[in-house]
Amino acid sequence: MASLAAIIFWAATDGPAVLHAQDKGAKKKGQPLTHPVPAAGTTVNVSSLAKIIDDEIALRLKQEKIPASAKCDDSEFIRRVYLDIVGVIPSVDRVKAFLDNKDPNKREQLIDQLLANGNFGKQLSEIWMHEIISLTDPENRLLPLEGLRKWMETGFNNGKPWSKMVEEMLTSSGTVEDNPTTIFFAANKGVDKVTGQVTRLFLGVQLQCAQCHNHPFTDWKQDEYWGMAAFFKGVKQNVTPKKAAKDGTPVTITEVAVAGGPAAGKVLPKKKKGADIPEGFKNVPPKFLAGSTAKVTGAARPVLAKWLTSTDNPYFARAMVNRMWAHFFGRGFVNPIDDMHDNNPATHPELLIALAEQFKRHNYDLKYLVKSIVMSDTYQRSSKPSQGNDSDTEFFSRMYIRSMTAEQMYDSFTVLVGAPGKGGDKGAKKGGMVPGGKKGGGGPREQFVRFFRLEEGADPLEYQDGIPQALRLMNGPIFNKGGNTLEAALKQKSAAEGIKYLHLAVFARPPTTQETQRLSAYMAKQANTRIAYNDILWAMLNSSEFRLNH
Amino acid sequence: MLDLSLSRRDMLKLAATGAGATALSGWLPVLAARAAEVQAQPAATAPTARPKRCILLWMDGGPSHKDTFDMKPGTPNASPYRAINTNVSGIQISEHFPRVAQVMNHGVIVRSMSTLEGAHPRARFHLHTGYREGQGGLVYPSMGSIAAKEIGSTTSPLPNFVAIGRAGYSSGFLGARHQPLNVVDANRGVENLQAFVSQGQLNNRLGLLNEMEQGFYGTYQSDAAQAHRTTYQRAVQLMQSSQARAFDISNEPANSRNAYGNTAFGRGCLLARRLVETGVSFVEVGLGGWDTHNNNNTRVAQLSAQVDTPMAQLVKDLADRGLLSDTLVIWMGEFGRTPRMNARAGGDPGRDHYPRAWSLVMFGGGIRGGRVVGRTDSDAGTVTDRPVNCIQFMATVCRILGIDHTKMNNTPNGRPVRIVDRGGEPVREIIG
Repeated sequence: MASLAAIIFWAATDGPAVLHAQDKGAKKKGQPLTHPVPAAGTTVNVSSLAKIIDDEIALRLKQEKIPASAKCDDSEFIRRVYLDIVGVIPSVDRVKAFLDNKDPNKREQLIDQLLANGNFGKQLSEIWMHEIISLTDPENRLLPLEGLRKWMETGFNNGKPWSKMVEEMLTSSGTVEDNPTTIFFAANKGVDKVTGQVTRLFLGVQLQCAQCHNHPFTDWKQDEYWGMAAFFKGVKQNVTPKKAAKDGTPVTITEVAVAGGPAAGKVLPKKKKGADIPEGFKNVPPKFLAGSTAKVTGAARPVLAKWLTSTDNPYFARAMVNRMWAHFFGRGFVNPIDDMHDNNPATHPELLIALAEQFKRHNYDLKYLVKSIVMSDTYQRSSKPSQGNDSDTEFFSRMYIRSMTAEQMYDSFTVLVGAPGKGGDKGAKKGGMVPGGKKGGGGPREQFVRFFRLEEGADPLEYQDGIPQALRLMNGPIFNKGGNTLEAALKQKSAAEGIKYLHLAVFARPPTTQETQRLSAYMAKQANTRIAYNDILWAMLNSSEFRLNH
Repeated sequence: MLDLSLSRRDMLKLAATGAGATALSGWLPVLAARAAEVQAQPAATAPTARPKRCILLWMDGGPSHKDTFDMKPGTPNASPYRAINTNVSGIQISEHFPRVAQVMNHGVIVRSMSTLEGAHPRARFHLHTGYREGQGGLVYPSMGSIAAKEIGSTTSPLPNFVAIGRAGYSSGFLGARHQPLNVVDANRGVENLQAFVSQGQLNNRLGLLNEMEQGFYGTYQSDAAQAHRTTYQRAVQLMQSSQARAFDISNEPANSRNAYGNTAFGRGCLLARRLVETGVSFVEVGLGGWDTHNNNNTRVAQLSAQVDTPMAQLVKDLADRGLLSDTLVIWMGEFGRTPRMNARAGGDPGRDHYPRAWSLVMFGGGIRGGRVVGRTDSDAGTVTDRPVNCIQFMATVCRILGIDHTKMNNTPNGRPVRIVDRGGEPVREIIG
């Protein structure tokens, strides 16, 4: 298949084989590349990779004749990088210290501090749990999910190579209590479910349509899907979580070598209820995506896991790079981020390849990848539009504005007013519990997150809150009960100092002169200082400036 | 109260002229600025006397047509259910809809739906928006949002599009103003409607917030900020309205409440009726579970029973209150199901996805009831007469609701997009 071959060639060579339309003329054999990617076989460090990012982005902006916005100021930087790396806004003390710091390398120092902070792994683990575990299946709630999340958090924080983390998940066996990585399989029961998840999450490819027929928009044929699915044929789960909860048998994942080897045409024994054998099941030998048939003599999953990092696999590194880029910028080089195929090309194919290559060369070190991204000028660009670049939505001429995630909101509220508690309205006739799907349950943070969470696949650049969310923020007890920030503001020497304190705490910046004047005037008119501060704090916490990551 | 949404231009204008200084008194200057412009805006409606409404009963998962509204009694692969007569001679439906059978005179069964998408997410998107997911790189608005924009009230404090039980499909490029209000549980309605503080203090707070929003938007010109502000304005409007009482079904007399049955879906239908009575243009009530790949016969019967009482009561109530001719009620899912049972080992077979031929039902809205449109073969597998695809269906719904389906709406980038894609016209036979 011509296009598949192009992908393989394109990704397996050390340099880009496919260039922009504008470059086609220049790309002849032997001519130097116009793209500033590292020479074949080189490994580059963080600052070099950051520079490559900036040069590539700048090159494209030049071609598109789009001006770039200026660098963001220190307030914008500290707030943004805190949210993106550790998932919470900086405290007043941190903000003050950073703004006052005269060290020219302070931004890099801050990045290093945040990467060493345990919340780096925590935020990433929560993001991944949302992807791996579908909570619309109520049985998944009965699994010890925290075990898997904690395992991921530890891996991210300890710098475990991403390839190793995925390998361990994919080849896991045992009980879900003893080996939490098995939850990956227990929560995605069935050959079709797990195949769809593995290809989407780790290869960046949406194969599900090809389960029943050849994919309508891409070149994926049914055999590609079933070739991948064949790696999971031997996975067995002894009981459902529901049954395990009833009679105490631990949910256990095992893998058996498929009887007689995975030869084509061999009929598998019929299963009861058909839970593991999905509709339209095709019995083909295991085959790597767009690649060769696999040699499997025993368990199949280790063979698949090994292929992830092989030179024959152009998908694995690229998928994670695209996903991490999207985490920091709101959109990937390819969008949707897990739908990478021929008819959905990357906006910056050379940069994507270069980043994937370096990620690979650094043994899939996520902190290396993250630091390279956030050290770049591209990441540190202001989100304020400049010289008409506000119509740019794909070339990163400025930082795109995103909403805070629900977890970031909750954790930031906790910093500012103390833990939000169970929500609901003061005057509610019927209890104050958060309406959250079929079953409530979970602590206050989980309920809050469910209430504010974007739908699966929602675009982080699109504002998603609706009237119920606005009502809860305005009228719920969250901001109506004072808290530490309010108390601290009251202790300041003057109204101006108090107003400054509130701005540093909520917006990570000092107020403008105009803001100080207006708010001081407001305070002077109020009879009660506490009420006045409470009003100002309420407005700030309900504002776009707080709600958005800019 | 007035339309409060502001275009980008408005926001920048206000920020530039320092209108913020006067805004400490509340939202009023902003309201005044907008009022005049609103009156001048042309709507996509034909000049009808009363605005139409729509209640979409969304049967998520794809209901089996052969076991509900396209029974094939006496054929080799007929449904295991009996086909019963309705109050329209010649029309038979599943025995599990005995009450719906008694309001069939108001309904039109379309048995010749034939669409293109067989995977749930794509099919749901297709049947909610009329477009294909990913087509042209846009997020298309759902029919609910389109109705909210085109025939929704510009002055009502209630949102024009409400989704009950399942989150409504988004307004896509039509923006935050036309997003659905999602009510998870009809029993609880909309929570947090009551302010935590006095009206005076709330006004002070809103004034401060208004100032901050203008400042931020002036600097960043962010679409997200604009959407945030619009959402807040709508929330405040709702808080301050008396019409919001419609969301509280405990206000409904007990016997009326009981007539809808004691199920979440039933309560959703009751809430839908109350909302359209108050003037909401489009209400979607969801009932999931129709994806019967296994255990089809048990589950479809259960689900049908859940629908039968409230749907019939809804039609009856609307008729009794003189609202039925202005309210289109649609019962549908995203596709039908295979005419032959699948061969599940272990004895609880089901039916799989089948977009090629399926059924939906419409009541009210001024259509001529008591008819069947379209036909399938004896297996209910192929449409043999008057096929209706998604575009034709959407165009028909637009026609019934008084929306010009050829009208263009602009995306934020200024790209014109037809309300319903080219390639299909309203189906006259459905309207009658």
